[in-house]
This record gives sequence, structure tokens and C-alpha cells, in this order.
Amino acid sequence: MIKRTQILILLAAFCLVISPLLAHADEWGTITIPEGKPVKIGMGTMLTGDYASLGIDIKHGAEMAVLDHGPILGHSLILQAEDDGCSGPPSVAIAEKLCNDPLVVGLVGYMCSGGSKPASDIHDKYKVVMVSPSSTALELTARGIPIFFRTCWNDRIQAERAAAFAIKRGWTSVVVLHDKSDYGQSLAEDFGKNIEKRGGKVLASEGLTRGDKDFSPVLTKIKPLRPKLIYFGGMAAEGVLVARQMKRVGLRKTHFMSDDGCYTEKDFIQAGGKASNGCYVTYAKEPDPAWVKRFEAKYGPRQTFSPQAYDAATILMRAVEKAAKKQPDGSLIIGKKALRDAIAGTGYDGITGRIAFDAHGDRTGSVVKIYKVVDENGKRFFKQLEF
Amino acid sequence: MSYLLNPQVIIDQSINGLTIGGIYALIALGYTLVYGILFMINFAHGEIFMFGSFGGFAALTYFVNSGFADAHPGLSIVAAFLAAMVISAILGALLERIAYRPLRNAPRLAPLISAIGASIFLQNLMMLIIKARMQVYPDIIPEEFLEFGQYSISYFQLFIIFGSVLLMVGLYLFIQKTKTGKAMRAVAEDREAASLMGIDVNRIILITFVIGSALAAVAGVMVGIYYTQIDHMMGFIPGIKAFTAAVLGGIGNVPGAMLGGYFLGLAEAFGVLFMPAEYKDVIAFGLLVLVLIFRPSGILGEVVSERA
Repeated sequence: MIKRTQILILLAAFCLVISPLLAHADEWGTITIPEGKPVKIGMGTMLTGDYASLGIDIKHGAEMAVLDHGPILGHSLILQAEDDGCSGPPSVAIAEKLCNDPLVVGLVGYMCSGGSKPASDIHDKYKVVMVSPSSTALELTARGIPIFFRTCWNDRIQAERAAAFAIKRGWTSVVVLHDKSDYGQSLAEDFGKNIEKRGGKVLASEGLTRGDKDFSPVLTKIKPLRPKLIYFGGMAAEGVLVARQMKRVGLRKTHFMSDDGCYTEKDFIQAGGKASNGCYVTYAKEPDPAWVKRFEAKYGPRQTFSPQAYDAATILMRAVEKAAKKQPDGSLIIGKKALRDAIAGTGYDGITGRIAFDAHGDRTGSVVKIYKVVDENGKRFFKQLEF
Repeated sequence: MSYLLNPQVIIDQSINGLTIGGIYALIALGYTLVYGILFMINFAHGEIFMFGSFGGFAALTYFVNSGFADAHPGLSIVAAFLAAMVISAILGALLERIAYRPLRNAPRLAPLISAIGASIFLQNLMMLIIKARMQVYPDIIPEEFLEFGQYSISYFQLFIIFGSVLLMVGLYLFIQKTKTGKAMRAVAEDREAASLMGIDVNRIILITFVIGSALAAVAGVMVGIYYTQIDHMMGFIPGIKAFTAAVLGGIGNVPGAMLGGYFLGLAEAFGVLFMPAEYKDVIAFGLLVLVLIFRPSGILGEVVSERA
């Protein structure tokens, strides 16, 4: 009898100890931020290298969001930015590092689709959410990974819009170039399919090497085909050289069109000089002008994805606030599934417009606009076209 | 194959090939000059080229900011070339003094490893200076074109093609006709005998490095003006391609390096017509493998008696 009572008492004590833990049980596990420790937002973006101005712009966007938001339930916020090199291997290394950091609640990134794709498998393994401001490749949201979200558009929309615009302008014979990356190649191929679906013709499709500077041989090869349009899927460093060298090899009547990777003032308009005039790129609609003014006062001219990064970080922080449970000892307990669900249920008016996610993690109702580089009143800029 | 029946493609592609080929040849001369005298491959030569490009960039940026470039665009470009040559020449001399001279009598592997170390050091040094951000050459002179009916050639391309030929002819005459050139040939042939004849071998080796580095600097500024984008890794691929060109023509052989450079440039330009453009680099390195297997001494051969 005594033995049984002892067991019962032990059991009761065990239940008492475990009950607060059970109350927060989450099927994916929990993150505990102890009292006095900061909440860390991870970030993967390119900080050094050819596309660093894009990556640093993303970092600035997220940094501003963190500063604007302030502490979460008494815990300070830290943005831990790591250099993802716009490619797979460093992104995977960062994913392993940050997913195993007990204070990291989620991540804004990665910058490039080629990095987001392998890294999202790691994030899925540890169930740490990621919100990418800039990875637009279609397949990222088509792989059934529950922790991936993005505040940018996906390339299906981008390719469709670009192709519809080209056909409307009567550019029915096109040559498609890409940089062989997960992003550039799939976008360019998708663009080509859309052109053919609408009755146009893809005369040739060629790949370039990232980091190469001499594209005149391939452009000379294209020249006798007399395309009305060259579409380039890739980043500004290579895109601007293609635009420059098109003029050099004599493709002067052929239009140049590219993607959001080339929507950057520094690396495309400034680096391209006069050769960038008349080039077309696709990008979302302009963000909130009041925000842009505030951003540019602090960090200088914005490039591409800082507004999307601002919204991505804000969504993540709001979701943490919603999912976190403050304990009597001051610590925070965040269920990983609860956090994911809070992001999936986002309904928020961001600086890039209304943000809500579909079942795959894509933004609902995102729009892609066409921009043209124009030279007006001595100022050269991306002008949004009515289309 | 229809491309080969189209004269416009042939001419355009030849211009492309000669332009990049001239740049490869200028860099290849540095490899070949040093090899001719020291029998070592200076793998830091690509970085000397990169530093030259940045030297020109710094000078041009200074001229643009000070307004000098608006008033005298031609003069500021000449000054940028000179600044780049001085910077690269000093760097080449320092390298020789610090990284190679102490190892001159060491086994042949030692200076090679020292060269690779110097190359990595210089890349990282520049990465720290520019914070690993790509830099863009200022547009000082707008690109104009010379038109002949349906053909056109950019003045930049003309400048690179003729500039590189001029420098190479100058170098060849220097080696063949001047006293210092004669001394260089003597050191290449037999270092000890040359030393016994009263030639200051250390001075000649230093001069060789200085000349090779200055030529690489010219190529660096040409690349900057022509392609506009420069970064700390820009010396790596051109360096290896120029090395390929030097081996192709017969390493240690000055006319061979020139020939190898143009051959490689043309092979890259025409190769793109027959295979997808993404395999451009495969052409250069495929050629290197083929030459090493079937004709290791290169097209013109290593000139043993007339080396340098």
C-alpha cells in the first residue's frame, strides 16, 4: 500500500512538473528564449561579390523593419545577417548554423533561388520558417515545403507578364539568354514557352557563365537571326554587359528585356551608361513612397528588394509576437508549428501592398509591372509603363 | 555550319577574337618572359593584371571626381595607363624580391607554391580594399563606331587590337635590339655564364618582372575600359587563359605567346558558333589539355637557344 501511495505521489509530482510544458506542446517542437536573451531573426543574403549591392539592399530593408518594430514582449531583437553568396553551398551552411541556434526564430532569405532551394530542405528538417524577399523561382513553392514563404512574386507571373508585353509590342521573334542559375534559366525558359504559346517564335536559347565579361561571341552568333527582342534571365552584373555588348556587335534595333535581377539603379542604370537606355525590366509595383523616402534618407538610393525584405521581416516579427507565450519567469516559448501557422494566416497591409499567402507559401494577388529605362530631364531611371 | 558561309559573322567574330586575343597575348607575355629566364610559372601574374586594372580605375575615378577628365579625357586615359603600369611594375618587382628571389636556388616546386600563395594573398588584399564589391569603370569616352556599310567596329576594339600589337612589336624589338634585351637573352640562355660575362643577373631578372607586369597592367586597363566591370577575382580566369596561351605558343617563346593569345581568342570566338555559349571556357582548357598531350612544347616550340 505504501508503495502504491508513493508511486501515486510521484506521478502527481511528475504531472505538476510536466503540465506547463504540455500546455505548450507543439507537434514540431518549441523554441525557448530565456529571460534577458534576445530574439534572433536570421538572414541569408549576398554581402560580398558581384550582386552584393542587391544583397546589402535586402539587409538594409530587414534592418529597418527590426529597428521600426522594437522589442518583442520584452526581448530585444537582433538581425543576424550571413553572406549566402547567392548560391547553394553557403546557403546550406548558413541554414545548418542558424537552424541549430536556439535563439533563432526564423529567417529572412535567402536572396537567390539557387540558395533558397537547397536551404529550404534544411529548414524543413528543423522546421524553422523562412520568408524570402527575393527568391522568385517557380519551383520553390511547388515542392510542398510547409515552412517556405515569400514576399516577392513567382516567376510564372513574371514570365507571363513579360511575354504578354513583348507580344503586344509585336516582338514576336525572340532570343532567350540565361545565366544557367536556378533562377535565370527557369525564368528564361518559362518566358520562351509563354512567347510560343502566344504565337511568337523563340529563335535560339543560350546560356552564359556568371562572372564572365565577354558575351560578344554569343551575341555575334545571334546577330544573323535578327531577333526583335533578346530576353535575359539573370542578374544585373551580366545583364548590363549583354545590353552594352549588344550595341557593340551591332544589334542596335533589337530590344533588350530582363527581370527583377536587373531592376537595380546602381548595377544596371549607372553601370550601363547610355547603353541601358531603352532596356525593359520587370518588377513589382512601386512600394509606398513615404517608406522609400524614409529608407533613402537613411541608407541612400534603394536598389531592388529592400521593400520586400522590410515586409518579410515585419511579417516574421508579427507572427513571433502572435505565437510566443510569455512564461512567469520572463522567458518566451514559441511553438514552431504555431509560428508557421501565424505566418500562413498573415493578413497585413505592407509597404508593398496587401500581403496574404496561398497554401503553397506564395503571395496572393501579386502583380508584376514592366519598367523601361528612360532619360528624362537629365535623369535616368526606371519608368513604370502602362500595361 | 551555315555560320561559316556568312561573311558578316566571320568578320565580326574575328574582331571579337582579336580583341580578347590581344588581351590574352599581353598577359601571356608576362608568363613567358619570366619562364624564359627563371623556368618558373609566375601564378601571381593574373593578380598583377588585376592590380593594374584597379590602379587605372583609381586614377580615372580621381580624374573624374576632380573634373580633369571632362577637360582632357584623352590625357586622363593616358595617365591612367601610366599609373596602372607603375603600380603593377612596383608590385611585380616586390613580388620578385620578396616571394621569388629567396627561393631562386630552392627546388622548382618551392617558387611555384610561393607564387600560388602570393596570388591568394593579393586577391584577398584587394577584396579587403574594395570590400568585395564589383567596381565599374567610369565612362569617360563614349564608345563610337567605325562603319563600313553593314560592318562596324568599335574604336575601343581598334584601340585594343592595335595597341596590343604595337606593344608586342616594341617588346620584340627591345629584346632583339637593345643592350638590356641582349642581356635578357644571355641570362635566359645561361645564367651563370652571363653572370661571368659581367651581367648583373639580379637586375636583369628584376627588369623582366617589371616589363611583364607593366604589359599586364596595360591589359588590365584595356579590360576595364572595354568590359567596364572589375573585381578582385578578375585576374584568375584571364590569368589561366593567358597561361594556356603561353603554353599554346610554346612557353618561354615571345612570338609564341603572341600567337597563342590570338589563337586562343579566335578559338573562343569561333568555338561559340559550334557549341552552346556556356561551354566557352571549355574551349580554352580543352585546347590546353590537347596541346599538353600532343605537342607539349607548343605551336612554335620552346625556343631553347634564343629563349626570352
